[in-house]
Amino acid sequence: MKAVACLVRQTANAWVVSLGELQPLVLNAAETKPAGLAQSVVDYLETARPKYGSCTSNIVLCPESRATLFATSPIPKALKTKDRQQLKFHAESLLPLDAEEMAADFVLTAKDLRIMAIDRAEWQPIIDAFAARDLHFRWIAPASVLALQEAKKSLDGARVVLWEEDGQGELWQLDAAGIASWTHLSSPLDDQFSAMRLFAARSSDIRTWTAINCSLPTLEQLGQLKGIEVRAIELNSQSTYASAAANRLCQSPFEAWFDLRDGSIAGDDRYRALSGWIRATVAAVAVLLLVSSAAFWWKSIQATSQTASIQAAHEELFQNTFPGDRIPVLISKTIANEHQKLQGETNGKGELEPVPSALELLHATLSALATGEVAPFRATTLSIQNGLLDLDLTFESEKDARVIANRLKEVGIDTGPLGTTQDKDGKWNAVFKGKMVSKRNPAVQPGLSRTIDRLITQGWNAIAKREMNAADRRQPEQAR
Amino acid sequence: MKAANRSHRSQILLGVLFAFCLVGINVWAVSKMLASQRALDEASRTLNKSQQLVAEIERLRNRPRIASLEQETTTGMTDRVELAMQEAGIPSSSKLSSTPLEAIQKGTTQYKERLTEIKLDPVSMQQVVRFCLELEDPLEGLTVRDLEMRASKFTGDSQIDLWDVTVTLSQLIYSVSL
Repeated sequence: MKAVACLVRQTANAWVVSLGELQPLVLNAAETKPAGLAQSVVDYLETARPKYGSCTSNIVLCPESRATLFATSPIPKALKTKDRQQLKFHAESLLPLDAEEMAADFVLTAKDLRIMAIDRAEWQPIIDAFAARDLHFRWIAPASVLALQEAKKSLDGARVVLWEEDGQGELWQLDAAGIASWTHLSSPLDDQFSAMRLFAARSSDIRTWTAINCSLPTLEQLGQLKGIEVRAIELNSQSTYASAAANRLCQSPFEAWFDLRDGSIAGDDRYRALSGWIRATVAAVAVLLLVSSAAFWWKSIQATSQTASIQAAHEELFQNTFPGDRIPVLISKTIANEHQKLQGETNGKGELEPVPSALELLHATLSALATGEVAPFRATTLSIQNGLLDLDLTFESEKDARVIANRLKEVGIDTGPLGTTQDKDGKWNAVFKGKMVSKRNPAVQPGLSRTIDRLITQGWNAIAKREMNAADRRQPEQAR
Repeated sequence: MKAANRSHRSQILLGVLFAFCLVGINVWAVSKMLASQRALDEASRTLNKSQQLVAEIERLRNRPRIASLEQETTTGMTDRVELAMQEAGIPSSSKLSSTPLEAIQKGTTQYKERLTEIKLDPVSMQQVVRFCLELEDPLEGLTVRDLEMRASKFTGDSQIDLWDVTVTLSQLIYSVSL
């Protein structure tokens, strides 16, 4: 439902309350006190509620034109145009009202200052009576000014307009900023003609006047003005245009030329004039919130879907890595645990020197002993402690000991300088102490078992058998 | 007038309620989106980390194992020694002793080393080697660390390849810190 304004219009002797297509309410001005007027408006709005809803905040108050003062003046250099109080004090010199008494509005153009004012004391009781009944004025401006503003677009750029309504004429000079000059034409006709002549003299550069709804006597008077061409047109009544303007004030961010809500008669809502903008802004914010909520929700749905895809990929990764295992709840933690275990089992961090296998060194040692032609020898001790070799061998000649030392070096065992001792039987003892300094490729080493067999048959068995034979030989000699 | 007041107030109340609803919906949507985004980031980060770990796991699977995650029990170790003796053809009477020692922490690492000393007498070189080969088990972190062989007293017969042997078996145990 579009907002409709309730127009409370003051005429010469009555108050006229109108709203949309309802029958206007006419109250005798002399008999109606402010409280009575306000109560009548409340009752009128109650009857209008079924059709137009609550209009308690859409009231436009229209003082009579003659109760409104208008002046135009050049802008003094010392005047601070942003200071309303200073502007009022300046207006005081132009209007028959003290600065403290006036409720005024100002229009500042490049060349002059235009002032419209009413007597605040006269209107304060009405404002208070309405406020006490929770009725709020959206605008205060003369009905004729609102009507002119609304009708201006139909006037084809007219610069001087004379609009007659109920036998009262008002003469305006218009420009881009709105009203440049305003004169009330009063009866009798002689006075009216004088005022016209004076106005024509002030605006001598404008030769075409637009006469709206003017009576024949007025048109005749206009015809008597020298050099003035009159364009007479017929329009609806001012009240019709004023109502349309008031409706527009309530429906859109439309601003009247003047708004006389000022000081104590400004009402309790100083942002009421901006209500259209505020409503539009609130609606925009609401739409923005809704749209952004939908966008955030859609984004979260997308993120959730992507998360599910990643979870599926995670499960697939786990199944490929650990086939047959049940997919755990915490896949990443399980993978991390398995990684840690495997890292520990394989010394993945390299934090530990692996325990040297004695078999490796044993294999290398035995390979060295079994390489090439195996010299007869006897082993008394073979000790491997934490990677260190301690080998005690007995040879028939010192040369054999040196051959073995060289072979140990060839297989990567560093035994250092060789020391040998000869026992009383003429055998040579050699102790080889050392460790693996380089590893040979195990693939080229003969099998350990085969090496041992060869050693046993050709190495220490040979020397043992010789010893046994020598012992056998010694026994018959002793027997003899 | 009272009706007008009530209507005005109810309009304001409805407006405020509507505003609260809108803001509430918006806050809910924002928090839901932020939570979903956080979950997505976390899932993405976790998957990346898991992919890196899996690549590392594949690499580690090709490395030789040097440690076990669990310490072999005393009974288990005894059974393992008995089995190795059987496989190597060493009679039970040749085992003089089998002494498991307390596991010792390896420096500041997460590894412990537990030594078991086995004394055999007398056995041949082939038996010793086969026995040691049977004992070693990389999957269980078992390595023959020390081997001490002394030739047995020569008795004069053909059995000259006989040794008094002390085998020190090391088991590396890795403690997983979860």
